[in-house]
Amino acid sequence: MVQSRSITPKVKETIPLESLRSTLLLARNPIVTPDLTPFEKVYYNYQEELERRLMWTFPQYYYFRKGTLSERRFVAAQKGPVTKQPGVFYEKGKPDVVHNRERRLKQEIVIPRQETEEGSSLDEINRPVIPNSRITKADEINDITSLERKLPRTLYLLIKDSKLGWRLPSFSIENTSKGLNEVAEEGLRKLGGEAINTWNVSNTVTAVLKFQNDKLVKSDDSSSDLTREYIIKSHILSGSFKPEDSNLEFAWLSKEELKDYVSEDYFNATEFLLSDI
Amino acid sequence: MFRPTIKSIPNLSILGRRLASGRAPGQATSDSTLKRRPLKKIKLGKARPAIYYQFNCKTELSDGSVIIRRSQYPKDELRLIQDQRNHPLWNPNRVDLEVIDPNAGGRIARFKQKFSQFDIEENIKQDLQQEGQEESNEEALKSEKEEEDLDNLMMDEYLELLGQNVQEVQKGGKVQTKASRRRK
Amino acid sequence: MLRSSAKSSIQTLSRGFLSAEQIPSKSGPIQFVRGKRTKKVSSISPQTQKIITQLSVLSARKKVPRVLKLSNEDLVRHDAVQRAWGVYQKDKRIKNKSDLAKQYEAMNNAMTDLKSTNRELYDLANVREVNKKFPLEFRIPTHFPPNKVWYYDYVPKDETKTTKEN
Repeated sequence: MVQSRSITPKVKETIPLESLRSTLLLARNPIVTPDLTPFEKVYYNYQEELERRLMWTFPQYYYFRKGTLSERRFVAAQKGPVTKQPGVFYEKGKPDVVHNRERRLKQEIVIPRQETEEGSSLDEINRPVIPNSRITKADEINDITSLERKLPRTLYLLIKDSKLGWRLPSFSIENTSKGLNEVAEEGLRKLGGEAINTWNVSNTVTAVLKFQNDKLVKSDDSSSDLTREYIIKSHILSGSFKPEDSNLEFAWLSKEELKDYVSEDYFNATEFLLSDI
Repeated sequence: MFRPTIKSIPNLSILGRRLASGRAPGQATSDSTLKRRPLKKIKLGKARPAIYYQFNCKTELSDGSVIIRRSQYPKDELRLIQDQRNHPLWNPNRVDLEVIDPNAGGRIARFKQKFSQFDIEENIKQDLQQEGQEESNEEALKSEKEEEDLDNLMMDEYLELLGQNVQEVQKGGKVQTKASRRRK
Repeated sequence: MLRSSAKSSIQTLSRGFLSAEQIPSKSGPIQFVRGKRTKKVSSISPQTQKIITQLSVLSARKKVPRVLKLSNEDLVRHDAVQRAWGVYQKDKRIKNKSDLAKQYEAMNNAMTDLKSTNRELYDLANVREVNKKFPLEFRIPTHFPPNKVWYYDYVPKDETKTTKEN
């Protein structure tokens, strides 16, 4: 470290701090598993059916003791296979039944629902499992400021700048006593209130965006009048972004939606940082 | 979890032993062990993997989220009462959690409810510890003293317990008089 | 049928059981005769036979379904599906890999750029974060969302401390 410092020329220090900015890429991670594409859906279904067909017979004698009530309930719930009778023609092939299972087909087992008396204490625990919908209210009204939208996707915080339009929140650096990550985190809290719980991934910079007169230039451009935005990655864990200034527009958007909001150059420059899921 | 083929091996030995105990030793050895069958050769490409029957079990976590997982146990719905999602360790910043003690109606809870008043030793120790924490100076000296105090306290409690409802034992005639009273 | 068999006083087990009350006591003790054994007499003892039966119930042979027999067409179809899946996975893998490479490249570029622009910020960005832990509040995605999707009432830890002191 010390050696490299001595090697680097001091001429470079002339770049003013005002031209450097710290930008925050704040992500809300997916809450439910990703939606399956049609191909994935079909393929998983095919594999499931194949596996079900090749599964061994359910060892009923292991889980249900002979002569018990639970065994009787279980057996009553099953739809038995067609048995082989002498002198009968079977259109779909002769049945081959072992252990009450048709060996040529997949075994379908019905689990009897346990009924409890009404008002008993077990009722609360034994109520059927009814999953919540993966599509929330925020999805229906398409509320882009809500964190409960698009549960299977990663959402990113975008802010509308009066001059430059939609972009990632960016903050100016006042002095060099604080690292870029701290500047970004503090800036976010100044902008959106303290009640936000974030986790900063690292103090290392993720990427740099270079602007010349508010226009994006290539990352290897090294002209002298550049404004640089260093991107810092962070995740929101709880709380929410509530801007103090009510005129400030903000949005939580997925990668595809982000494309429609920001300019094409901006999207191309940040596209690889955004998650597809 | 469950593997019938593996399970069956210990079964055999148990059965064998059971039979052996009720029979003459000479006969037993020939009966209880099965003849070793020559292993069947599995031809190339004829091996069949063991795919045990599995259910798709809808598992509801404590916060109401549901995952579907495979399980050999014959149940298609499962509800977890306490897990990561309502445990304070994994939710250090949440205040709205209802932590349910899974042992609330259990044997230990019942035991504690019954015998909590006899937990004198612990109570005293806790009190003393709190005092000790407040006075952080001369801790080493204090702790020795505290132990002595504790011993004295325990002894007092014990004597008190002994002293409750004690009647002096009276000898001789009194017993007889009591008996005679009863007859009347 | 039953009458005649009762008269003959020789009965099979099941019939004897059925018509036990109808038999006059005069006819004397009932003789039970088994039918002729059709199966081969095994040399093993009944105990061993019992073990063998139990084992055979448990055995894999009784539980495996029949082998899948696919016609040539089905095999071709299956192969096509598997290959399509392989291609799909490969595309995904390549995309993921190239994204990661781009991210690494961007990180590298940004750091070298920062080094040239501001040395102090660069040093701060390189400080090793000791005791930095992955937050326990992160949740693995589930198939269906929880009852309360997002927790909004977050209060920063430092604030709570100050209020307690006050």
